[in-house]
Amino acid sequence: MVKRDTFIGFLYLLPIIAIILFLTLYPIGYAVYISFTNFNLYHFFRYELVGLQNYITIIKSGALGSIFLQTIIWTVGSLVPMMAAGFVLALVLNQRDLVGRTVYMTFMLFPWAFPSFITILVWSGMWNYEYGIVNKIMALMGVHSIYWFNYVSTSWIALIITNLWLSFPYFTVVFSSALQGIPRELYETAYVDGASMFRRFTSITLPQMKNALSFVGISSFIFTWNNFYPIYLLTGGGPGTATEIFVVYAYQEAFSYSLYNIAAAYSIVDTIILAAFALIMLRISGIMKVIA
Amino acid sequence: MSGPVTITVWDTYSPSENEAFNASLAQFKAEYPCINVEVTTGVQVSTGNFEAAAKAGKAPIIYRDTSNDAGALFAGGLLLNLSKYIPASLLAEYNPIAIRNFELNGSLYGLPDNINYIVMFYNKKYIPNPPNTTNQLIQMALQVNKTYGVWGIAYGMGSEYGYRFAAWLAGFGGKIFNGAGYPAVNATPAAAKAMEFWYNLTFDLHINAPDMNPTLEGNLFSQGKAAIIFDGPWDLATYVKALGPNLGAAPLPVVSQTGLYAEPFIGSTGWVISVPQASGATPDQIKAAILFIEFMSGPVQELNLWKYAGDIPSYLPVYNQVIANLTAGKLQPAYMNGIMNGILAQAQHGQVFPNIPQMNFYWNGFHQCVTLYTVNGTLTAPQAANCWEQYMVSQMQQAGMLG
Repeated sequence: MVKRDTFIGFLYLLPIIAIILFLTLYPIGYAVYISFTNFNLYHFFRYELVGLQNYITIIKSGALGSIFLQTIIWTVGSLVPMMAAGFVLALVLNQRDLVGRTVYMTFMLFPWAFPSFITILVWSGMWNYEYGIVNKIMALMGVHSIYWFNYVSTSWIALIITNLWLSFPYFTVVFSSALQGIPRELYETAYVDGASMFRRFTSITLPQMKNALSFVGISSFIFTWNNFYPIYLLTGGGPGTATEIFVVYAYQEAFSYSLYNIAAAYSIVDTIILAAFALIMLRISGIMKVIA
Repeated sequence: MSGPVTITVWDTYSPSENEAFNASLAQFKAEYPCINVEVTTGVQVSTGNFEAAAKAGKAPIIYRDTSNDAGALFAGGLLLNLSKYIPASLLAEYNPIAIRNFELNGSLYGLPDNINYIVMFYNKKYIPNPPNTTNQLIQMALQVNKTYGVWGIAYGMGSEYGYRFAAWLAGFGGKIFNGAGYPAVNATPAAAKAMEFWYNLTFDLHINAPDMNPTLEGNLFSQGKAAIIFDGPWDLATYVKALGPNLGAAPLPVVSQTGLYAEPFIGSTGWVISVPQASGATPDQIKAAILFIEFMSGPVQELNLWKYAGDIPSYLPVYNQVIANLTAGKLQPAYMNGIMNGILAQAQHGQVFPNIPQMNFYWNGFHQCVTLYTVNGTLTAPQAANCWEQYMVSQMQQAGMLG
């Protein structure tokens, strides 16, 4: 009887399992398959397996190392300020005596609620040398205008600031809710024991927030690693190829050059590297044990 | 054809060109009532959707594309070889450059419906007569800058992908490919010299506006803040509206250092037909498609495109008719005759748009490497030219074109 019920239970799950398999495993499997073929515009209807040839090609091309490094710069460079800003804002908004907390929270959600594609286009105008508001504000402070997207360092700064604007509300909201989950009694007891504000922060807030910080950090690392739009729309990977990351590079190989095989190989390499990073981070943080 | 057939068409015309297309389509339907035409509007040229649709066997039977993008599609086996369908007598009716644009390895893969290229637009308020050489261009731009306090030129080499730069590459004596189709932008110092020329005009002489992109260039020129711009007839209506009789058009100047004209690409857009494997078309549908593209690149549509959108005809009888009208000064308002004469004069000094598949790798290679020179300063001009060529070579290797 139990076996029969279990079987019927699985039958109910079958449609959703089929959908998940179709939507996730099929594209991934197809990409893996394509990465071992010569399928591109010039072998469109008739293509064949070429073994590891595409992987050898991208390793030999010399672009792999710089793209990996740039992807790290993009991911870590974005993640650190995003988490720091989100955490600081969450701490500020979590003050009990803060007047108008709900209003601040509502306003802060605006950048998140606004379509990111449009926001990025607005920022693109703001970074413009001649007409952008960033240079105009700098001019008021007596600072020379900058060709933001013409230099590698300023391109990264502009990209990371834009990404910070797009993302900080998410971090603030998540950290705020985590902060509100910390029992008040802990702070009150520590206060009675004479613990300073700094001590209360390091001994109560940070340890209590560890799981939230780890989870948000790891999931955001994965998201930012493959965050396509800011770079594609703001710099297009330039100047030169200095801000190319895996996902942008793979996109260009596929849709600028119709080299689907090479794009698929880059995607697979990208996925393997990211999965390795994610596993290491999950292991170090111990977050899987918490989830389990 | 054994009975009524339906053909599917992806229409990539601009709004003004679409007025011409709709007028011609009505005439086509009247002439061929047994052919039902299903048009999908708002499609872009060079769209990746075409390949996706072709892979699924759902590509349109007929597509309007640029000659170079269609060249890559033809090389990939997605487009029909039209050589056996189009008689030589009909091909003789077209501008030979436009036909060459749609040929690859001696095979025809499309029929052109226009020719297109950039010209030099100038503001007569600042420059009564256009410069014939780059030395004159510099002198005039300096004078304009000094007298009126506006930019002499608005050309953003650092923001473009090499479509306009190709003219200067040719003017300085360079080529994109050698006879074997191998990248040759660094085979001579021409690319480096052309880059240095524009760098000097921008950052040393300060007569070319910095940090430009096509939109900003157009804005500066339309607002009278720049005297010269290099752009195509597709933006003519905007400039006529902004400058009226002050607008002038002329061929790009001769490069004083070489004595060669700066020769822009003479490109074409036109009609192509998908192979049956990509579209599922039957032999009857292919026959109907041939009739359709002959009509839509023939006299009716060419004249409509000229009338509604100012497209330069590739069909010689219509082109000759346009020239005759211009010579007789029949265009209204009258100053348009001078403008159109200037635009048509550029056709004498152009280069064939390479439609070999490796041309795909030209654009990003140029953009990425030239910005490292002009704006980032991490490369010298010769290094940028080398970077450009190496980029093209490495992409060709990835595509398996170099064995």
